[in-house]
Amino acid sequence: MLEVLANLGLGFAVALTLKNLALCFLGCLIGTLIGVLPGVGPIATIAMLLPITFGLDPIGALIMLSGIYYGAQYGGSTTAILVNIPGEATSVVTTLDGHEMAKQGRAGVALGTAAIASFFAGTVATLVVAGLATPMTGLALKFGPSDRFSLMVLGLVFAVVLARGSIVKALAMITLGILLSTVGTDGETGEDRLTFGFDQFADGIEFAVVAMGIFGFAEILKNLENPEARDVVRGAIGRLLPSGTDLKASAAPAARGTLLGSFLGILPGNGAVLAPFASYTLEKRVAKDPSRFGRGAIEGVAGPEAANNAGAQTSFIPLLTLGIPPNAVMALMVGAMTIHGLIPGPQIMSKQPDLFWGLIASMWLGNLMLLVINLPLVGLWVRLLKVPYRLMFPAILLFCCIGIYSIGNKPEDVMLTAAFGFIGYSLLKLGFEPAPLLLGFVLGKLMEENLRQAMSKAGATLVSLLDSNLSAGLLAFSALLLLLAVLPAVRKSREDAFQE
Amino acid sequence: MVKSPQDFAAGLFVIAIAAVAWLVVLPLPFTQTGGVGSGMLPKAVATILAGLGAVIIVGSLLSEGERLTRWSFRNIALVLGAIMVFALTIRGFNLPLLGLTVPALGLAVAGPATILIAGQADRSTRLVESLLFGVLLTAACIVLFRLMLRLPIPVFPPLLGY
Repeated sequence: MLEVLANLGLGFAVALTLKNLALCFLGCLIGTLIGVLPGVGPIATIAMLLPITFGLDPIGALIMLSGIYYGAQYGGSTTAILVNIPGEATSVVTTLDGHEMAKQGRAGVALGTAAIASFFAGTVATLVVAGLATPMTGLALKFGPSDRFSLMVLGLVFAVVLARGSIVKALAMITLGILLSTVGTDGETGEDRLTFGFDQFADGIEFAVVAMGIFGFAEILKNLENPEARDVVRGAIGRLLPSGTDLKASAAPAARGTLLGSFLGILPGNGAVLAPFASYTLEKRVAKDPSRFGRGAIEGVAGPEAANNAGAQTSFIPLLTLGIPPNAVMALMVGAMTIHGLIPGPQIMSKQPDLFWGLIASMWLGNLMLLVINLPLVGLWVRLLKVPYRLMFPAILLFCCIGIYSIGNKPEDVMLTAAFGFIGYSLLKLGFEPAPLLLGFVLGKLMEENLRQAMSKAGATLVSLLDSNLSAGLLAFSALLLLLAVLPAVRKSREDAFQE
Repeated sequence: MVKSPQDFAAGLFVIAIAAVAWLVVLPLPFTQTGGVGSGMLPKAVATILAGLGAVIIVGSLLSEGERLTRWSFRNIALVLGAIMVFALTIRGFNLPLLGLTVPALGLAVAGPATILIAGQADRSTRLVESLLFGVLLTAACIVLFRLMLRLPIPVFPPLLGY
């Protein structure tokens, strides 16, 4: 406990410098600014804003990026409440009761409750991250290459099981992502793989190119096709601070949501995405009068928002300690860290404690800033929501172009991103959910590295992956999970869970 | 008969990608002395991908599903075209196959051009508004990216000496 406090002290010393505070603030602000735009989720927001952080030192860049992430999350909730358009899967639940509250003239209270619940969850989750970091890193250091490989397999299986829509299609997306990750010169043998003779592919495909093509450009093409009926709340926002009764009603749901979210976020698969759904279902079940849900129940905003934010934060744990990104957003963080020459994994904590603990401390500061900047700025967000799409999408497009060009000052990268935009559009048209592709793309490289290390021992075959108990157990669990997921009964209840 | 045209096409799409990948990595060794060869992962993954494609196709024959929706090629051409214009003009580009060299125009020209072309993909876009917006946004981008963040992005054609 004392050690955790000392570490957090070090972290706050780093995060509280004027420069890092400013970066954290700026990240939260522009993250919210972009995240509020309807149809732009956290993945697209981070991909788009990545280049802004290129000129910074690694600590500052990571602090700013995580600020952008929380900002984008919070912006998404704002849009969910005010416009009924969820930016991404995790704010779907917020639209149910949040938008209903807004229609009843309680938009301000819904936004305020979401902000306060998120802040509470963020505070608890920061402590969870700080407390678990040391033991998890210790555990991670004991992992051999085969264990890490198997853990990544488990993570991918989780991601498949938790993806929306068809399981087979999600599996296909992950596999396609892994296939894309093999493009480039083989690091070990120097042979060209899947480069089709293009020199540009020799170093592999830039991560940001895939992300921006599939989440930036393809999204735009999709949105242009389905002109959304934007249902911006017209009436007054009303007062922002929840009343005593509101607070009392939301306290317990927020606490339960925080617990659920903190736990689910730690899972190596995309557990965080489940958190708001799980919290909503739980609140509905424990409520005295479940029929109020869907009609503006404040519990249905407080619980899921807390769960969402807690999960968003604890999903940093697998990334920072094991070096394994649990979802597409964390995969983007890996991309960002690589650009700054950092390799996520257990060695970060021992080698760069200032970066590690500074980042964790800035998580809490970011949450505090969101509370402080969001509520007074609600009027600005509402005005931003009214910007017509005909102006919004060309602006997003230009930002993306500048961003990709700035990665390596190469026009070819921009062209390649356009190609990925087309691929992403095709995938959306064919009913594929592209987020697992991004995860597969990042994990593919890591998996091959670990597989190679595991098999480099003399006489090693694929069977030697089962030599370690841990690795064998993880693989067995993955197989079981996948098997269960394709069983008809489980498949049905999974569909029900996402229906709600 | 095909009951889910969308899935049927999806399966074919995935199999086609897997097949192309297989053909390209064909010469790479599956194993090498001392472990995993450069061909192992791509080949294994391509095989799995093709298998998943087959499963998707079988599923599309058995259960009802989504229809295929129309592709809006006009939007694709305009949006991706705008991106290509940006890529070609930002600092100039050589197209030896066409015997063409696109001059470097910098962000000051590429920015508004990108906005103007992409904007046409939305039918409600007004030309004057789009042009004005493009110029203003580009100016803001120049201030933000070039002056404040100091990214080395070309701003004006080199003739103007900046």
